[in-house]
Amino acid sequence: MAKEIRADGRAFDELRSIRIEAGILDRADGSARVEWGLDTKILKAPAEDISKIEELKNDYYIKIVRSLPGAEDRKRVLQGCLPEDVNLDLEGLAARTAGLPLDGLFDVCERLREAYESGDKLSDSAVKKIVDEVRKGANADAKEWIFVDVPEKLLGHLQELKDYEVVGSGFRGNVAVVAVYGPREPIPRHVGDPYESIIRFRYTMAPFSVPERKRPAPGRREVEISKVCKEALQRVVFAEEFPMTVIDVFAEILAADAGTRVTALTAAGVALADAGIPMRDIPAAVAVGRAFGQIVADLTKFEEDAPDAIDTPMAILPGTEEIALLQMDGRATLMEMDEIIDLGVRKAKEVSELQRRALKEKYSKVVDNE
Amino acid sequence: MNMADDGVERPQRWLVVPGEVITTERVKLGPGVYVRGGKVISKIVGLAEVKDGTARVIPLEGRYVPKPGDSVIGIVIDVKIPGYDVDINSPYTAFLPREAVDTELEYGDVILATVKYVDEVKNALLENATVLRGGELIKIIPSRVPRVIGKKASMITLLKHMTGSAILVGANGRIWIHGGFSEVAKDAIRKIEAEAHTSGLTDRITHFLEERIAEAKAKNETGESEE
Repeated sequence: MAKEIRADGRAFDELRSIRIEAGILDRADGSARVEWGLDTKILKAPAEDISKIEELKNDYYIKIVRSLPGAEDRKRVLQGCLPEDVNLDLEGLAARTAGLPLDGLFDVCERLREAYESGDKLSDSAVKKIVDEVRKGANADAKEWIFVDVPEKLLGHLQELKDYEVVGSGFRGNVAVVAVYGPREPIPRHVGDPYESIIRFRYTMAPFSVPERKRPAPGRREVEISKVCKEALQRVVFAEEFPMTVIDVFAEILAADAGTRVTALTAAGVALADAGIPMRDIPAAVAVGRAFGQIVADLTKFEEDAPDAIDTPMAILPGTEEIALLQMDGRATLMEMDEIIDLGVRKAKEVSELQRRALKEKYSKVVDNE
Repeated sequence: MNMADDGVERPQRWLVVPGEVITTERVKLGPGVYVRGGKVISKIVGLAEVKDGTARVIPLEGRYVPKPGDSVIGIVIDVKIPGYDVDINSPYTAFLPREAVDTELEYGDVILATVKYVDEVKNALLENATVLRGGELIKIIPSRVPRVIGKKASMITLLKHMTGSAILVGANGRIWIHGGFSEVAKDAIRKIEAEAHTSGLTDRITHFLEERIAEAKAKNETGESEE
């Protein structure tokens, strides 16, 4: 499925929009927030277009915000609302009521039951008549709407969505808040190293950060991400200047849409600098990889789930292009790998530029207050 | 930031973040910089300065690390037989031997002392301690202390003179204020802390103090006449 544009309307080497703010928490020694994602528009579409939009969903990164009940849902509703002893083909009825909103579905049930209780045999044609009547009534009374969340950049590309009214805007992506404490006394004392400061990195994801509730307890994934991020930062700071101390870095993911570890690491770099901790450079992170046959930068969840996906989160020190973190999920040829790393380095430098600007903005704000 | 305090022309200072190149020339290395590939690079967020052949970055954030000769304000956190453990607002604790102080100290006492020696894991030894009684203690970011003191102690002299308070500034970011218009002094110090990276600060603080003290005086007078 090689196309001109990506599933969210970006160019192949284009990052999502990234907003960084430094020094957002008073109580921490250093802190930063990174919002890394797609700006979207909410469109209002008539409910009968749902199948058309469902189809687009296979190829594009759009989301139906309020949807009509699906075939399975409809079957369940019918099962629950109809008398138990009624002898009807529920599968067939569920298929026939496609596109009906929930209210309409209840109407159908109500009328079927009335007919059944008054002794009607409920022949196929009688059922069809009832459904058709309800469908007509539902359309005539109140028009049912659905809402589609579409990436801004995709809007111009999809002719199918042109006529719908824009009713709002949204954001779909990662939000990370990072707080840095330290250098401070190591507690317990025995974790302290007499030669250097130890970084402790704790990555946590909020239960509400993903569509399905995430269990808040740190699992294997959180432990792994904390470990690799800690190691990325440990060699970046001048740890030897603070023997027998720890630097605690807490990264909290409030919203997730692929690439949370690079979001957290990008924020951690800014937060460490904001805490006044001496560093060789501010590490900048980005995920690059392959999706749908193309080498792409900054994959979304949609692209990460592609059948041929390669996801390569990486962090570099932009000054020397040293790699501080490099992981990979998927299979790549050597040539692809070279391309991926080159792209990653180039994109991480863009991220770095934003980090620097965010840090400097913190101080320009005070001057403006004058 | 070409013009600095008092309108005197000074060598340029500019805001840098870690990893930023300060100069490619051969210079001596001051604090806050390191060399990578022949370039002088900032380690920290701060104000970069190349003056008299030395490149340095004046930090804007960061914790206090004890250095011999520093005058610090500490709080006694433990009383032991040979002396006292003192919290000096730092990742490291300090120790004050009993013979270095005239009186007996208690848990919670606030002292002004000098750092005599710092060992290889940065634990400090204090000397010349005096107990501070009464007054108030406030905390600022330690790296902004030099700005509160000012060039040749100009800022602190100004503060003391105008507010009539006794003010002691510890290098560790603790400031002790006693008497006078202490509220005004506190607000002024907070203002200096927040705007430590800007220039023309002395003028602004003078202005600020004049205004606030006039206000405070007016309030006092009306308060007295009502009584």
